[in-house]
Order: sequence, then structure tokens, then C-alpha cells
Amino acid sequence: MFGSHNQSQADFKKSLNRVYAWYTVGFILFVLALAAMEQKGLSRNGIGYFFLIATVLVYAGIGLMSRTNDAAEYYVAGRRVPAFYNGMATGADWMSAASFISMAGTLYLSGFGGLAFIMGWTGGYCLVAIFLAPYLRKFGGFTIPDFLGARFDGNLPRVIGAFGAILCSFTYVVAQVYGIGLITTRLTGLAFEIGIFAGLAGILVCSFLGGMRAVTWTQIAQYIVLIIAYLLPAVWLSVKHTGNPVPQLVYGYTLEKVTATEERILNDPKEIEVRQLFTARSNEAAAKLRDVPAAMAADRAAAKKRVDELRGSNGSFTDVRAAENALAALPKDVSAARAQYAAAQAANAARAQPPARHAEPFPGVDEAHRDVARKNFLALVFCLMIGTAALPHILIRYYTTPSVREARESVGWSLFFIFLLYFTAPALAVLAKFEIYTALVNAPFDRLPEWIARWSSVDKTLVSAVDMNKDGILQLAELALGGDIIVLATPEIGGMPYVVSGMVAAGGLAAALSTADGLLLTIANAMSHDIYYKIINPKATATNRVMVSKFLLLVVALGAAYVAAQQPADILFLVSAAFSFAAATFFPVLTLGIFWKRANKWGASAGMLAGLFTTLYYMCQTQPWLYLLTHRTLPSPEILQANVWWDIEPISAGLFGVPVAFLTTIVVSLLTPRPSAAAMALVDDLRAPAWEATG
Amino acid sequence: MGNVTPTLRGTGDMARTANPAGTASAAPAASGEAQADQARRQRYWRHNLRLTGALAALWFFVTFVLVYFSRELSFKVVGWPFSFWVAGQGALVVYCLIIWFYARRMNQLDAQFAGAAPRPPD
Repeated sequence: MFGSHNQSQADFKKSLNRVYAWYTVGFILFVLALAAMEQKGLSRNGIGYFFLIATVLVYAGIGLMSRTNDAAEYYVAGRRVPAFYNGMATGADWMSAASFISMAGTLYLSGFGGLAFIMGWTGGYCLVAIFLAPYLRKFGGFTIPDFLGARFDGNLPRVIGAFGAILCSFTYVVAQVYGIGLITTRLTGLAFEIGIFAGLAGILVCSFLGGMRAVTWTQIAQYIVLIIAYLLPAVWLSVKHTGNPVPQLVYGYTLEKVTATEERILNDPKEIEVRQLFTARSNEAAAKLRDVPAAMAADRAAAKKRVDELRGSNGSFTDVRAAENALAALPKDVSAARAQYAAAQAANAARAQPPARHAEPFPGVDEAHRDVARKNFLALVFCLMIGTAALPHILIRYYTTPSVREARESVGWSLFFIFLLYFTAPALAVLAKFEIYTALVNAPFDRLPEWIARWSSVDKTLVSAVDMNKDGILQLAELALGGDIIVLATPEIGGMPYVVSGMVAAGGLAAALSTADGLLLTIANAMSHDIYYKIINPKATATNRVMVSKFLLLVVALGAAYVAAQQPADILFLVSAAFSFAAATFFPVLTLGIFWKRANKWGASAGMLAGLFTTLYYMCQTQPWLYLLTHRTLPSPEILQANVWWDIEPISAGLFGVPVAFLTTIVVSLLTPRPSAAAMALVDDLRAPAWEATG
Repeated sequence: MGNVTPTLRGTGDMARTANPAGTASAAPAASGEAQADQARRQRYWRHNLRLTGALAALWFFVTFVLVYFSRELSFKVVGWPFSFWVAGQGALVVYCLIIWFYARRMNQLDAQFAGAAPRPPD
């Protein structure tokens, strides 16, 4: 079904069309059947289990059918993936749990500022298309370090490249496994750790049995699920509000209405009152921070007094217990208390902010702040774009097409399939905002929709509504929303049947699984092909290498699951950091390797290291969590502020890493001998016209 | 077709072949033909560079120049604030077109420079 050696490329494509058309029809019928069963009384958890088990079984089935021990099949899917399907697989490989679940939420929360992700995560494909993909395909290796080793004469650049690929991919895969755990938990109610390992089984059965071949055909299946799951709620909401089924075309009008509502909310006295209450709380926490021991003593005395009062006045048992718990929960030492007060100050100060105007570019209180916002927007776009064009798990997908020609077309299809989701996300954010501003704001507290209570019982950080000013009416400032709620709860916000919610969760799972598959394979291949085969044991047979890769895959997957189960603090930051790392490590040497013949081994090695370490250094100096990790002291905001260069946020550290890597590569190359004749000839051939069989 | 190296024919995979040096160090062909090949390759590469440069400039303009002036470009076009539309949709459409155009033009150039070599039967 997924290609045998004696089948022509045209027949192969035809059979693929047939398989995936039937698959899509099957998925739609499955959803309709579940919708019918919901009407007959199938429970929510029942629907969740059906979605989880059915989709993972299908992915596992594809993995089983594509099992292989052949090296070319295992590493690059036999180089026969048609451009169209490679585009779809790249789309799924690319769109992670963050794209699927968090992006619309980021757009909801930060308006125009969130568009940096939309632009950054699509525009990078232009760089892939014109600077990298066709040349990498022409080279036709197995991994990205493979190219570095051949172009830069030797194992040093290869090892550094393999190290960089493992670093970027591992930070990224931990976040995916974490996402898988979250979604499985919400879909079925299993414990988080069990959710992680259930999802892990789904990943492993694909990549373990069939490597790139199995991952490719599974990713296409996963793309189909995730895109249907993303588009359906947006279309539904759009029809509900505008009567037009193409949300991307009409949300401009909705945006106008949202803007009008924003002006009202900014000046509403009730809203201002609530924001002032938060300011007061923030100031209170700031006062406590000035003398932490005294504040601790005062807190303790107050809590004690409350317990005694309740006991003395025969308060209800639950009240007494609550007061006792509050007393027991007070911080035990000064540093814990300091952290708690600082967190309270920051959280309340954030809630005291008036809502950002959704459509306003680079908001700020004055011209200087607006300049900083603009600078950071552009810096983030830069890092995300260059990072996109340098992430190894994306670049190796272009090794799998039959020809250079199809590699070029395939980048186009990739961006098209990504575009479908990315130009829907801003529409979804605006439609959800409109729904919340009109249906929720100024609604009486006792008549809030059911989904608020349900989701806040799942996780308080997703949604919480507290009547701060005790007027019985919900002000916008009283509602705290976590970004992830937008995609997860859209079906409920829009009043759709639960089967749509189940489908959205299955889509998020598909997005996380497909990305995790691609990343794990990249890590295992860098270890088995570039380090084990090319350096440790060059005599290893092809079968032997595939075996080693499969074994490493298992080890890395378990390692990622272990790290994710610890629930590391700043996981979202780590994902974005992976982009800056990839940008500074790979993009400069890959492009210079192709476009500048004089670049040599020493330049490339020094360039990669310089880029990586500049990026890492800047992050450790300016990002609180990394600062704590490397300096072993908690940084004050003043220290972090003093370390910042040119007002750039730590997330965009690649802005410094990329030029440093370019400069270092150029300078060191010029100071050291020319590359070998073989390397020069390799570049000549990369630049020659491609003449080859097309299918 | 002199400009097609044996290593590229058929598979296009340079990493798999024993002699990655290709024509540059291949058997000494008739020097006139080799020189003509060299010139053709250079012309092809210059075409490629010009196209790459132009498209990269367009990419840069849409991404950084247009967005830099977002505050100034916030006028309304059929209900949309222009700069919001650019960052949310317009730029993405341009990116798609850039890639589509590059693929089309380069595939044409490949055909043009590879000459009249018959395509192998599918």
C-alpha cells in the first residue's frame, strides 16, 4: 500500500490518492457516527476514549504496514514521497501542539503582537525554498550533519552539527510529549503520567517500526485529522456570527465590532474599578516585599487570629478547616515568602492592565515603549523565520522527494498546508473574542455559561471568573483566561455538540504526535548515522545501523517522557528557545556552505559554536529561569534589565547569535586554508542545473 | 548532453556516489566542450542568483519594511485595518507566491539548461 520497489511513481501516486481519499471519507463517517451516538446518549468520556483509541490505532496500523529495515526506506522513506504528500507530511511535522492549541490563544491575548508567530512560522519557508531545500535534495544525504560533514571536509563540523540537532530537537520534543500528556488527560480523564506513556506508545509504534517511511505516511493521516478539527469550529463560529462560512474573509467586520467594544471597556467605570482593585493588591504585595520577615509575621498573626475567631465563634467545620489550611499553606522561609510576594505582585499588576487593543500594532504608553515593542516584534519574526529555515526535522523532509524539482514544489505545498491553519488562527481568535465580549461581559454571575465552571474545575489557569467588586456582574477585568482555552473550548463557547470538542482534542493529539515523531527520528538518526556509523563504527552494515537507530529512538523517547513528567517550569520558553538555537547554529553555515565557496571546515565549526553560545549566553543573562539555573541566585528584575542588549527579549536571542555565527564563519574561514578540491567540486555540483527523472 | 555528469544522471543523489567531485574532476573531456559546459553552468547559476536575490528582497520588504511601518499603515481597507491584514494574511499570501514562482521558474531553467535530453519514461 505504501510503495513497493517495482511500482512506477505515477501508479504509486494514484494509489496514494485512493488511500487517503478513502481515509478522509472514513474519518468523516467516524465523526458522524459518534455524533449520532452522542444523540443516543454516549457519555463525554466515552467519546473521548473512542477518539483516542481509534486515531492512535489507525496511526499504529499505518506504522505497522510501513515497517522496514532497509536503510534508505528507514532514513528517507525511499526518496519517493510525491511533492504534494511531502508537503502535507511537512505540515503535520511542523505544526506542533503549540501551533494547534496555543497560537489562537496567544493571538486572543496579545492581538497584533501574536501575529509575529503567524508571520515568523510561515515566512521561514521562503528561506527554505530559495536557499536550502533544492540544494539539500540535490546533495541527497540522510541527515543535516551529513551535509555539514561532506561540505566542510570532516567529522568536526559533523559532530557539532549532530550535537546542535540533538539539542534543538530534544527541547522541542519534551514540549510535545508534555502536550500529549495534557491532551490525553483531558480526552479521557487518565492521570497525566499515564497519559504521557499512552501517547508515547502511539509515537513509538510508528517511528520505531518504520522510521521515516512510517512517519511520513502517518503524518499525512495526522494532517488530515488536524486540519479538519481546526477548520470546523472556526467555520461554525463564523456562520453563527456573520452568516459566511469563510471566517478568514469576513472577520475584518467582526474585528471592527471588537474594536468598538474595546473602547467601551477601556472607559467603563466598573471596569476601571476592578482594575484599581488589582492595582491595590499588587501594591500590597510590593509593600510586603520591602520587609519580608515583618510581612511574614503579620500574615501568620492574621491567619492565626482568623482560626481562633472561627473556633471561638463556633464557625462551621469547613470554614475552620479552610482557615487552618490557609495558615498551614503560608510560606515557611524568607526566600519562599519573597518568591510568593513577587509572584503576587506581578500577577496582580498584569490583571490591573487595561485590555490591549486587538488591532493596534506595537502598543505602548509612549513613543519609546512603542519603539521597543516594534523592535521586539521584528526581532521575534526574524528569529522564528531563520529558525524555521534551520530546524533539522523540517529540512530532512526535503531529502525524501524523488527529485530536486519535486523538492522545490514540495516546499510550496508545505507552506500551503500550513497556511490553511495559520490564516485561520487570527480569525478564530477574533471570533472567540467577539463571542466573549458580547455574551460574557456584563452577564450576571449566576447566569454564566456552563463551560466556564467545567473548564475552571479542570484547571484554574485556563479560566477563572471572580466577582471582585461584588456587583454580581462579570466585568472583563474579572475574567482570567489562559491562552489554551480558546481552541479547546471554542466548540463549547459556540454551543456545538461535544463530538466537536472530542475531535478538536484528537486534532491536537495528532499535531503533537506528528511533530514528536519527526523530532525523535531526527535525534535518533543524528546519533545512529552521524555519530555511531560515521565516527564510531564506519564498518557497520545498513541493517545494523537501523537497529542502532531503533534502539536509540526508544532510549530518547523514554528520556523525553521522563523529563516531561517532571513538568519543567518554563516549557513554552524552551520551545521558542529551540528556534533561536537552530537559527544561530545551522542557518549561517548551511547557506554559506552553498553560496560561498570559500567557507571551510574551521569557519563552519567556529561559526556554529559561536552562534550557539552567543544565543545561550544571552538567554542565561536575561531569562529568569535560565539565570537561576546557571547563576544559582534568583535575579531581580533590575539585574535582568541591566543585562539586556538593545531592549531585546530573551526569546529573540537568535538576533545576536545569527550575525555572530555569520561573521565568525567568514572571518575564521578567511584566516584558515581553502576548503579541499572535493568540497569545491561538491559546491559546483550543487549549483549545476538539475537533470533527472521526474515522476 | 555534456553538462550532465554521470553522477547526477538518474538519481540526482550526490551523497551516494563514490565520486562526489562530479565533472569538475571527471575524465578530461574535450577541452572546448568542457569550457562550454562551464560557461553554461555559470549562466545558469547567475540566473538562479538573480532570481534568488529578487525574491529574497521581496521577502525582506514584506516582512520587515512593511511591518516596520505598521502604525503608519493602519488605515481601513474594506473593513480591515491594513497593517493587521498584512501581518495576518497578506504577507502569507506573498510568501506562498514567492515559493510557487521560484519553483516554477527554476524548474523551467533546469529544463532549458539541461537541453533537449529526452525525459525517461515514467
